[in-house]
Amino acid sequence: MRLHLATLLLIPVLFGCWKKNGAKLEDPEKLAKVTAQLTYAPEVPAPLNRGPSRVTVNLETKEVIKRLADGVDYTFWTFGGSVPGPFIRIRVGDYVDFTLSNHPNSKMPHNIDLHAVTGQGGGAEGSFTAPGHSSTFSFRALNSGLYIYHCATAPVGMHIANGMYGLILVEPEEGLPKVDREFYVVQSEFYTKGKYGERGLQPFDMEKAIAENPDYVVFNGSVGAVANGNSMEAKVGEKVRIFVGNGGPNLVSSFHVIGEIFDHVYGEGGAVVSQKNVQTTLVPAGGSAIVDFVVDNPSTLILVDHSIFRAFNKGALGMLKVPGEVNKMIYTGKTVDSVYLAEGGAIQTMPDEKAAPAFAAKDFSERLKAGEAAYKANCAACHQPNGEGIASVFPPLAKSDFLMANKNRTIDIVIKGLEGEITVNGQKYNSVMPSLGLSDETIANALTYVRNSWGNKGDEVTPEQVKARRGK
Amino acid sequence: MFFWGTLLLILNSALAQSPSEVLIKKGTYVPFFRDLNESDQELGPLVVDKYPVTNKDFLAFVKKNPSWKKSQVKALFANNRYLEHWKDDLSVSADIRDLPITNVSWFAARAYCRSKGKRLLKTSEWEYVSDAQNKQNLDLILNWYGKTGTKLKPVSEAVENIYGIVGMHGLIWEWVDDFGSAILSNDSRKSNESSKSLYCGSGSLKAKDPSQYATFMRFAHRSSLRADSVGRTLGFRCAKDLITDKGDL
Repeated sequence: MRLHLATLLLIPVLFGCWKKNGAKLEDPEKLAKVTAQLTYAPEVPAPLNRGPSRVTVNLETKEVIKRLADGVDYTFWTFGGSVPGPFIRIRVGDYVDFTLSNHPNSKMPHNIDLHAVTGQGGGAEGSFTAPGHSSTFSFRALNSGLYIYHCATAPVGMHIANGMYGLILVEPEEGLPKVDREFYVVQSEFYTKGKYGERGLQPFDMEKAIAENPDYVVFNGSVGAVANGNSMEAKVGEKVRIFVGNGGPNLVSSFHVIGEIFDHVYGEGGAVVSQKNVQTTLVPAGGSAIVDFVVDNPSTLILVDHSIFRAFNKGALGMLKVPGEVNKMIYTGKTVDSVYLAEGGAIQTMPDEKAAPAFAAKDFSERLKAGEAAYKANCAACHQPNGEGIASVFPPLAKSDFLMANKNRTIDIVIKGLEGEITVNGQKYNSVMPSLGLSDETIANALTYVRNSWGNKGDEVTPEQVKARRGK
Repeated sequence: MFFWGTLLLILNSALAQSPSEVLIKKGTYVPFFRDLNESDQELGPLVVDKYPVTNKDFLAFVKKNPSWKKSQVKALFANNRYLEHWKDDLSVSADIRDLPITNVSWFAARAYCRSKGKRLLKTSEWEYVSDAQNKQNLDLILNWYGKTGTKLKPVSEAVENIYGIVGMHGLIWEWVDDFGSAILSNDSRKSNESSKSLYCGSGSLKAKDPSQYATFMRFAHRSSLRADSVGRTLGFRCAKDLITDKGDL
């Protein structure tokens, strides 16, 4: 009896596979061999179409001097010569043989901690490599998700701050839902001795890094790395997915795409869709997020960290261009540009204020001149500069029978306003003219101008006449 | 002809008088990585090479000790990059003669020092005489660590520190005798405590002053090496103990 039990237990061992956390731990010797395709940001390797395999991944660490911003160079410590390092795409169940090589010209030893690795230091312990050497270790991908990898050699903060990070995607068994386009974007900060934009080869500033006060916050390793001439592109109607990483070393990102909404967010780069219809999602330092959206409308979408001074003053700005005709059923752009008279154009004075010295026109020609100005300031918005009005909305004043028929009525209207139907030059108007609160002098001047312009032949209107009508 | 000859003689004798060794009196080294109850370390007196060993020095050694020729060296004692910058076994071009020797393994460095009746410095001695904890040296140290590439300069052009030793910083990484114990071993057979110091910042828990990240880099570099490793910016110098009954040294 005992023998049978023992044999039963031995079977999984004999066949070289047993389960852990749902992932089958196949004997690595039995897995098909494949070499991982690596890409540089913003490119992403093609979706996988294979079962669990034995994957070879080779990364090189290199120290390179490159552009951080226009006129600004920096000594980057990198995986693969770029910041971020290459995108690694594997699937759950893979057994990865990972070789890290440190270029002999490197000053520093380097290693790698992949957040996808379940093991000492995430692989850091097995990959500590002196310049001119290589280290190899192997690991099994147990959990699907989008993971950061970074160098973890002391002082760790400095190795990360100098650019040593990238993303590794572990596809779930069924793969990710199909999209038309995928992009790779990593946000990170740089701490330089000089201020933002200060030219030359800028050294790393440890004190600023400890104070968490960066000079640069960028996407993909430099200012403008995915903007303007380097923008990402998509076609209208395409479903776009962005694998977003945050290398830190310190800041959390509030990732937002101006002009779009994320249809789905895999929060923190995990295995499930955690939210839909998200405007801005958090990407932790040393973490990630997966977002996707359909580009419904052509525009230039702007990727930002919505801690907004980072976007406009430190470089955290990227672009996704979607060319084509704007779909006016979704967004029209500006259709009306008009003057906005917040108080109706009248000059309002506070009770305590000393009134400005009153202007008083001395004669007809002065009144006419003053009236032109008063008309332009108070009446032209509706009745138009040449008194033509707007058909069926604002009655004309030019050659207006209604205007000229009754002087007192005209003065009353300007004092009190008017509502209800009227007929002007044979046209019906049923609008509201507000009381503008103008002074006697202003009304007199404006009306004198109106009744003597654009073909109207009338006489002067005096302030005394206006005053006389007030009270009536 | 006669004039130049005399000039040369005068120059030679002048150089012969400047010491190539520096006396270091007794001192105390405060360990950078301190274990619980670990006390400060006494050192000295010792005599330290003023300059790192140069290509010229090492060539003289190889000529006398042919088993250390590039083509002869045993694979156990140096990897296949050993002396990669020498065109062949005994050829050191004029432009690299006065540069510090590089691409030599710990075994090779020890053999050289032994041939002079000396030894490599211990980590505690090296850190002490390099005056690394002096904040005034920080810029020099960090600028070199931050600069990539392997451009070397003649040892005479390196910086002299307060002890009168030249080129401790800003020139090359240097072998020490106990490089393997710079940080605790990452041998997984030991308890897991040991490997934590190496990675992911936990080393900073043990260090005296975490802001001394320049020193971190030096310790990290040492612990990445193997005895047969060579490096394009890794060289060495020698020292010997001064055994004396005089209490004042």
